[in-house]
Amino acid sequence: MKTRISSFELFFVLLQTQIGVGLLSLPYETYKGVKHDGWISILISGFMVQITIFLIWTLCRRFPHNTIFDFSKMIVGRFLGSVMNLGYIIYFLIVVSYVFLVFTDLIKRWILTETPAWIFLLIGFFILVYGCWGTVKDMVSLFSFISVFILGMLLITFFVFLEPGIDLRYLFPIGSAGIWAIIKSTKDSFVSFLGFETLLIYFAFMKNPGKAAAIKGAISANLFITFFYAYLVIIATIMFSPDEIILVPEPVLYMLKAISLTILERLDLLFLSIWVIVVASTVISYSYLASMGINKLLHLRHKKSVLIAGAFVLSLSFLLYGRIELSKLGKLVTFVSYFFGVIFPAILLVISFIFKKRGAYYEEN
Amino acid sequence: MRKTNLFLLFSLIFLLTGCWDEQLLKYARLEYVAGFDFDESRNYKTTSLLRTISRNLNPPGGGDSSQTLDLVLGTGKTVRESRLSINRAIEGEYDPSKGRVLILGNEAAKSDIYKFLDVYYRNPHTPINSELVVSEGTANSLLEHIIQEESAKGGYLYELIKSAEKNTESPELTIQTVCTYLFDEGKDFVLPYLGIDKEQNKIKVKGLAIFNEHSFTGEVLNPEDSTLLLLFMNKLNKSARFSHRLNLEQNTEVTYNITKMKRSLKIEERDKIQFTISINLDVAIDEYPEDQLDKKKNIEKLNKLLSNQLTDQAENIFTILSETNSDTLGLGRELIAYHPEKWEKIHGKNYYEKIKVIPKVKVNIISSGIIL
Repeated sequence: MKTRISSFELFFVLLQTQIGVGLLSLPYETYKGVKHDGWISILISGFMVQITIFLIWTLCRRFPHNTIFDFSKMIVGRFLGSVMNLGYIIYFLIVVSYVFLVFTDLIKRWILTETPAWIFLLIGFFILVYGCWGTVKDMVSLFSFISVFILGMLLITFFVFLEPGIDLRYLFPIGSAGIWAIIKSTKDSFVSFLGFETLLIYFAFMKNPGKAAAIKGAISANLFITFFYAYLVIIATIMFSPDEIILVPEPVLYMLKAISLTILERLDLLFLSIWVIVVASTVISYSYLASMGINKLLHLRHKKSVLIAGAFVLSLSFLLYGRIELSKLGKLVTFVSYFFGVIFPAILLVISFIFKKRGAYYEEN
Repeated sequence: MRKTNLFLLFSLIFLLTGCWDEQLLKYARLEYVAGFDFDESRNYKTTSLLRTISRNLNPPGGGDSSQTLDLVLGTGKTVRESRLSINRAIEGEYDPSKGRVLILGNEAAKSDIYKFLDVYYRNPHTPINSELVVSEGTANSLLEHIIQEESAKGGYLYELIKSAEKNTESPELTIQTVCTYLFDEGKDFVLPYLGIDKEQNKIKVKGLAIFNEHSFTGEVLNPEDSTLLLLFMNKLNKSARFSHRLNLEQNTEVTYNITKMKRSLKIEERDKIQFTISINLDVAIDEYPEDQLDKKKNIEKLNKLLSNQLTDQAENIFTILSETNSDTLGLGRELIAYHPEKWEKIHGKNYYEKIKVIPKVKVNIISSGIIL
């Protein structure tokens, strides 16, 4: 089939979906939990996500070429399955709305202070609709292309090492927070890895979802992100002193703001412009999957479902903007994501295992 | 297809967000240097040096622009309010986002300087990478001097500090990096100290102002001591020069440049926590009229003389630092990072009292220029 994606492409899809709004405040979030040992917490979270990805894969390979919207019904029955599908659709759309709100809040605080919020929400809506308009293959090639920009983000952060103020001693003593505190704090860093749950659907579009090669793309994407995040946390830790970092909600941007090169200043603005692209891809990825779910639930055409998804996100964001504390919404999203990312797939796996439910094309290997 | 295109065109309009946040340069009055003082009733007094580029729209002989400097004063209960009152006094929009230097008046520096800087950290449009300095008198008087005496070349203040940094006479600190020190319990910092040289009627870097926690202690190191202190902080920049009159032989002078350095720390626990800090300096002789640097014996002798000189000088510096309780070497941080159990014993507001530093300098002449 033409719409199949390769393992290599899955790498980019997952990369673009996972790297999102959490990136900028990651060092701040981890610092609140475990102080300067945040990078260890990131590594542990990354490892746990790796296991979750494996779990999702074991589930999906039992139902080759079926998305969760299909096999949920096979496993728990038509009614419960539909309810679960609806849950996933709403969850995806709430994540998109959350991204919209964080994005708007951040741009309004950092660059365009006078511009009204509805402009950003509308721009987000148009990007969402435009990005989801085509086929999966279109979206995947877009993601593969714009992944170049993630390298650009990485490059910009290298300039931090030119700063004479950095102090490696801020990383020491390693592990002083205690192993238990570090493990407990992974619940805060876990949220920045969100996006792996989209694999529940993307695996269905792979050429050979049953083969181990299929998971390679996902595993390496997650590995890349884990190290990228750990790196960001480390440079933020050596750049800011301990009591300072808790005053700075977006340390990644703030440290770039301070750097002045001979021909370039305000690297934070440069970083933000690239970050916007990466955020857009997160939005597109989630909304594409949501509209795919709408498409299956209501038997609508793809473009119509995209518009419904977009309209839902837009109105929800309008409704919530300025009325809800972002950190509260973030906590809610994190809490819900445990269910949709880990617990539900695990339950489905167990049920399908006990009742030996399998998809039509399942082959034992 | 047509519909899609129309949709695309329509969406493009929303990408043009400049309409709300445009800040036209022609209305902006850019600040170049800001100075902070207190007035009699402890209000914040901001003195701002504005750079105006007056353009002649139709110059007869090609583009010509001239630059003038203006001094504006504002006071207020907060720094932001004092800026507001500056804005009332000038035409156009007051814009501090391109400031290069921020001067803290002597009295202002002796108070909690975070109060002056908070607005810089809070607002996204502020220049947090500009230089922070302390002035001998009020910041206002320093800026008045620029306007009255050196108006034509008032733009040199930034370069003045930059060149002090290159010569290892001042640390490479910006407003942002100072914030790191302000929030670090195990580190203090020093800032360049500017004053007016009465004889030459010029502004000069007069050394380093020593800070403890959030405020200026009142002690100042002279430029030569500053360089040595920076070496002990492991902050050798492009060059670091010392000159001595060697007492043992009459009228022998030497100037040399540090080309490379290595620092080592040793920690012992006595009644105080004792740091033995040794720095090994590779040195190139810049000036030494005695010559005869081909003989090994002479070099050895000179090595020893210079090492002793600098060690004595360093002991002097560390006495001043312990009197002012200023941990500019970040020894507290060293303990937190590598010896947390020792830090537990001494941590607190005046932990530096419980630290003793024994400086050791070893000079090693490796070059004598293109003659011996």
